[in-house]
Amino acid sequence: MEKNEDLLVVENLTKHFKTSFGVVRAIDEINFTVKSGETFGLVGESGSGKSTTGYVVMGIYTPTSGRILFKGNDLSMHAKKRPKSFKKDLAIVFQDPASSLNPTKTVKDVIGQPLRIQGLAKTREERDKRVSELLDAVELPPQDFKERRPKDLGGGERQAVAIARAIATNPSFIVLDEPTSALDVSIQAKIMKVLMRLQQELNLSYLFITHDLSLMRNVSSRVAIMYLAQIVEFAPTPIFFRNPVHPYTQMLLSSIPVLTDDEEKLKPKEITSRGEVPSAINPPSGCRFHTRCPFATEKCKTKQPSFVTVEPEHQVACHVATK
Amino acid sequence: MEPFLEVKNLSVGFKTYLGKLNVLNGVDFTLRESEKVGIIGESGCGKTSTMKAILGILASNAVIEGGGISFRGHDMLKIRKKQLNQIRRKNLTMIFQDPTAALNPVFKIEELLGDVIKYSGDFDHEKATKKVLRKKSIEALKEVSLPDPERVLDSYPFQLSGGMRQRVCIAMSLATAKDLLIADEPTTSLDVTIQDQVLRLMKDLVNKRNLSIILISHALGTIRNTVDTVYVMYAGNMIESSETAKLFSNPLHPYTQGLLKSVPKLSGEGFSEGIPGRIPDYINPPPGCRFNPRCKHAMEICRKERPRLLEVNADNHKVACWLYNKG
Amino acid sequence: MQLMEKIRTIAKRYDIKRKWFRFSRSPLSVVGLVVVAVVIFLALAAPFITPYPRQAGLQTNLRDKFLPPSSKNLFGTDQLGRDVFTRTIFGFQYSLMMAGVVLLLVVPPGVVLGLIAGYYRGGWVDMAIMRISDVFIAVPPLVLALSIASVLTPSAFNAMMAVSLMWWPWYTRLTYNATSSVRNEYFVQASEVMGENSFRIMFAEILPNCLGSILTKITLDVGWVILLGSALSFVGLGAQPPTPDLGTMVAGGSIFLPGQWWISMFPAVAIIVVILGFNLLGDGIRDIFVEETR
Repeated sequence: MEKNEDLLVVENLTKHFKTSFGVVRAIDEINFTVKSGETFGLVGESGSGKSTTGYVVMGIYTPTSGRILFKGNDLSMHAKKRPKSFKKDLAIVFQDPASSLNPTKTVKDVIGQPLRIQGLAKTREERDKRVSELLDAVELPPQDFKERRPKDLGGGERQAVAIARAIATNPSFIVLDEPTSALDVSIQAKIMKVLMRLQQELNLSYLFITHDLSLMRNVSSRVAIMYLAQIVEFAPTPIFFRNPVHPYTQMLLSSIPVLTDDEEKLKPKEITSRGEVPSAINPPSGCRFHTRCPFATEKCKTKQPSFVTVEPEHQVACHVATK
Repeated sequence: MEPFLEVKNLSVGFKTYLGKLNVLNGVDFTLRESEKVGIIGESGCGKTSTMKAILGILASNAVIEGGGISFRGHDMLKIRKKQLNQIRRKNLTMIFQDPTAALNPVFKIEELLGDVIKYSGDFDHEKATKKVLRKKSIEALKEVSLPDPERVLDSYPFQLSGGMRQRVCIAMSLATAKDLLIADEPTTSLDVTIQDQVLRLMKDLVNKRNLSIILISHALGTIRNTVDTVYVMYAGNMIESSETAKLFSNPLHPYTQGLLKSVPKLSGEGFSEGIPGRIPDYINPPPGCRFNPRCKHAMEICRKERPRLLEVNADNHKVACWLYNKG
Repeated sequence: MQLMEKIRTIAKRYDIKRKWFRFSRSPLSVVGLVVVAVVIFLALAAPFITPYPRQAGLQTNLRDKFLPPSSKNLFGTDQLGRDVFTRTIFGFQYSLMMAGVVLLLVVPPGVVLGLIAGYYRGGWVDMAIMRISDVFIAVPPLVLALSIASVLTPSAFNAMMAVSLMWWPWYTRLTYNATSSVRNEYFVQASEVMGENSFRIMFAEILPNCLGSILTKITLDVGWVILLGSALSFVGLGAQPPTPDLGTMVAGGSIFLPGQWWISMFPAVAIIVVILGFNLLGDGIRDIFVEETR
């Protein structure tokens, strides 16, 4: 695929879960595209639907409505029903390194699993060789790590193994769901460097999901902010950080703890966050952010805002900010 | 003046099937009254173990190898259970990282909070009727800015959000802490916007009541905005301490420098290499300074002798590093 | 040497050192292990180490009946002059064999059904399997076993069948719960997304993570099955004389209490020892698999 062609297209995607408390509206009609070779960032807090989006794209959940197109093919169904050839083209790295690896298996087995399923290395020697290559690629010396079990590894090492597993089948697209949230800062830097290098070497596209805006600033080329199952703002990264428009985005950015005064200056004017995140079972009417928004008007309470382009490639869904 | 809290050369090991983990390796740490101190360290550095040692809640396989902890003149390592309980009731308390695990799920908040207030020693608990306790509980919840305190009291922990649960835990600990509050990663499990709210709240309350606070976190930004003095901990040692602003603008210890460089910046400068190597094996820790295998400035003496936490330039900026402590 | 190397590799692969550490922290567990080891040894070596092995079968010795414990008959003799010590040791053999057969019949189907029901949780398979097992669980164990055994002709074999028939659902339920909690872990999702087939996911990914609770239950169950079997024999519905079943022996000797107390007492104590041993061992095994904090 040519660089910058549309690799993944998500159209009007909706996902609702029926629970005993009611219908949880995890994702409500979101649209976005990930281009070949780029990192697309999805930012939000808990309950925003960002992780669910990643899971639906991977086929862990079936969409309630809407479409997912990958390389032009319709993949809007559960992973079990997807053609095998596509399963090796998409991969996911989960947020919790402790539970993303089977504690009873060795590193060799874990990384070898996708190879075995896709029939990519038929003999034991071939598999062994490939596993060693993959461990090298994520900077874990194969001799030391092949026979170990996840419980003997640190968080960063486990994530490295999860990444090795993800690239084992030479995918073109990887969903990274908060891959470094559970890791210490110095290890986070190391893993991010590995991910960036792999992206260059293997021409990967990433759907990078996180709540950490400082991290996002350094990793993605385009960003989308999610609040309560919807996308509220879209922009290329530098534009986004220079000119955040949506009040929620401003609230998020103003509450990031930064380390230097220089960075403080880059933050928007302080908007103190108010209130709790509303429930996804009964989201507020109109603009879902109106209950916490210091600028909310009558219109905000009744009418859902639609996207308005405020500058090239920068779209915002807000009545007040786009008057 | 008698130090409020002083940890002197504390060494603690843990017995496991692989051998003894020599985690705390001569920790030096002081806290004055009404001081707000933060401890930065990555997982496994021993910061939680140090706090547990102060509170006397170390695991059964812990072995105190040396050093001492003194709180208001009491020797916390040799203190008797009865006195320790009294201190825990009246003077110091701890807020833990996971508010869900800290609240007993089968009790309503009213019972959990009421229980703590009843025995807080503020008033004669014999006379504590349900009505009195409820009134006091509502006051406590209002102090932590919980909306609709009546409803919160009648709820079970699982019916509240993470931020609300943590605020309940803060209310519970403020009901007892008269002197010192130890908060171990109190906002790590919360959303960013809620983190902000909760930290502000803690700061306000600590100031209002003139409490001392030890805030532990691996989130450097959290520490920077909340405390006045910072200690940096690595592999069981305090390796640097100073006023907050100074630490972030002028980190001295190579580990601290590496750590600060690893944090992604809002200005978008990409990622640093992190710090090469991994944390030491506590069963066979490196001799001398425990950071030496990973340090690009390591000298002969670093591999032989452990540097102590000493002041540099007489401005209360202390470092435990042979680059600065020449003899 | 070669053998030492082999043992070392196996120990490493199954993490024996850590498991032993966790197990041995409780001295009682070690006691349980020793007791069980001794019982198993006695059971296996019964024909060779007992003084009067044929008296465990049809041989009687009416001339020496009702002899109190002595150096010739450590536990005395019973109403047919048979050596109680010998019969008790053979009783171990019999009990362990019964427990072994029952568990062999019960564990595989019970676990497999629980795995399937847990993996397809929420579907009709789940409902079907779990509701059927609920029916069996609802009836008190002894009542069910007695009803079944009394309908069939009393025999050791039928007693084992009766016990097996009401035992399997407990394994289904246990495995169902373990499977349900493991099923939603990220590594299972990862396997599904990769395209692993369901069969392999159930048996190679999920099952190894349930082994802890299953093994613990198996160990504890040995004691319970022996107890249940002895209860059935005690009321005459299990092993029939002259089989040296501990329960039958207790029953048979009960009419001679308190005068010739040794005929009932030693088999009774043997039952207690076996059950206690397996219970303590089971506690120890559970300690091995207790979740490590991350």
